[in-house]
Amino acid sequence: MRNQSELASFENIKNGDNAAFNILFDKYYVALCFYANKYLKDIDLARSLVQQVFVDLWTKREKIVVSTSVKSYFYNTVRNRCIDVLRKEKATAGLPKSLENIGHAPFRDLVEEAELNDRINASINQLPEKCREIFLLCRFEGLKYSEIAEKLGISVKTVEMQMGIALKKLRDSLSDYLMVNLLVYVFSKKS
Amino acid sequence: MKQNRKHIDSLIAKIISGNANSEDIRELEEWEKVSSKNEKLVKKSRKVWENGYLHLPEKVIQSDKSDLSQSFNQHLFDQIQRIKRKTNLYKLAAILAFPIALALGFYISYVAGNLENNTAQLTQVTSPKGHVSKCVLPDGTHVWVNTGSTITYDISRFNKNSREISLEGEAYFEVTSDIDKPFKVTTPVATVNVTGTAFNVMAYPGENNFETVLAEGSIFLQFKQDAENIITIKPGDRVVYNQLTGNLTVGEVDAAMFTSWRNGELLFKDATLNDLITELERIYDIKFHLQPQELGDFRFRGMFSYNNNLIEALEKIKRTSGIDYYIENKEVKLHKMK
Repeated sequence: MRNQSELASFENIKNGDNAAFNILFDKYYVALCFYANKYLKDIDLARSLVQQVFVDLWTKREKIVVSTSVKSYFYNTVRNRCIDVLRKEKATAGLPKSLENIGHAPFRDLVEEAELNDRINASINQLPEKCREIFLLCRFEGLKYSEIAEKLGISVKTVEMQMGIALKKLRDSLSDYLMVNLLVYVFSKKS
Repeated sequence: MKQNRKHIDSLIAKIISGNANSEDIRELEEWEKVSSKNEKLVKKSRKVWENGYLHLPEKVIQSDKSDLSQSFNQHLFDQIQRIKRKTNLYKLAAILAFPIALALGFYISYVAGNLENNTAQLTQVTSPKGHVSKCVLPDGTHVWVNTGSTITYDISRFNKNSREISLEGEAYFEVTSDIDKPFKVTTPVATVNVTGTAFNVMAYPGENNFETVLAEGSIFLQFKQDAENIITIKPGDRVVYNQLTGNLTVGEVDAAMFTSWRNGELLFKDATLNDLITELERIYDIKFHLQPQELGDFRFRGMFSYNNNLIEALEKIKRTSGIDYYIENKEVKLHKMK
């Protein structure tokens, strides 16, 4: 049923329905960017590649046929284009390491990982502002607690507390369903 | 207890982010040993941390979205133009297939002598917005159904003693000549009786004017309100009847002007902008907004012809009247050029 309505959205987007575009964008865009980034190792390049996939949805709509599901259409298209990009790179600059590394990772795992990345990213964006600022400085700027405290003019204790809150909120936002997937994924990797 | 919980959360964060000392690490190890639930919590935290290795801020996502949305709307432009062209051969075949199949079925049952079926079997041909459909009736009559219009006929009776068809909207008929079986087009306002001829009938629901234009042959017109009075029309005549005022005018026109729509062409003569946009709205299923409303009174001198291309039409309007356009979604905004 869900797939049906998604297919309907997909058809509507081809017919110029803005609401349908919004639905598909909100659902897939960020996850697809993360997915493309796994191949390209360049998030900005990943973003423009995914945007092009969306643009092609309406410019080449006559040629686009969704045979299985909207989701697999998106992921397959993004993957194929990433590989094209890497091939071109390869032609000019030798064998890209990223393609080698990723060549063997199963498709499904990468998709699930990308979905998880998306989920966490969305949760980070939903953190209270102060909390988010501290978390970003720590996670992505790699600053130590003491450096964050100094930069923001707060106590180290506050940073500790806020980091605890941030991590808890991110944990909570992952549904049980995703956790199950995750554990399956973790165990399948271990074995 | 609650305090304790917060302490643990902070402790986990400290360790995962690499801000812990050896004492912290020992403390968490102890805590993890207490239950498998604790252990799972730590594991989950690590997973969250590791999989959140890349960040796209909301601002970036939203700006990507609006960029895309913009180019999406640009293409809508192109989309609107294409709606008409979509009526390709396959579509036409699909449109024709239904009535033809029914006609075939009719003949087969006729041959079988199994015609004593009195239940009405209504066949309907509707042109969706932006399309003109053409179909062939069981008697060989060709009908072009204009956008948003519907014709209905009873397949069990059509072509038996007479040929009756009802119309909502506008259609052009090329009727196969058969004096024994009169061809009748019924609309809520009037009935058009013919034998063999080509003519256009326009009776859109919600519009006061009933209109018919005769291209060739002859037709008799019979109004619902005054059934006694039968009007005969010559080729090239245009009859307009206003339901509200009861006004009936018959005048000679260039029939091509009123029947050109079936080739995807529109011809206007001395029309106002309002006339033009009513027609464009009907064809493309779009909405026009005038700023100010009085722009609609602008009159185009001479002929305004247009073929299949909305943008071309809008450009033509812009050139001749100085009225600029702006398209957003399926809405076209018209305003005076600055």
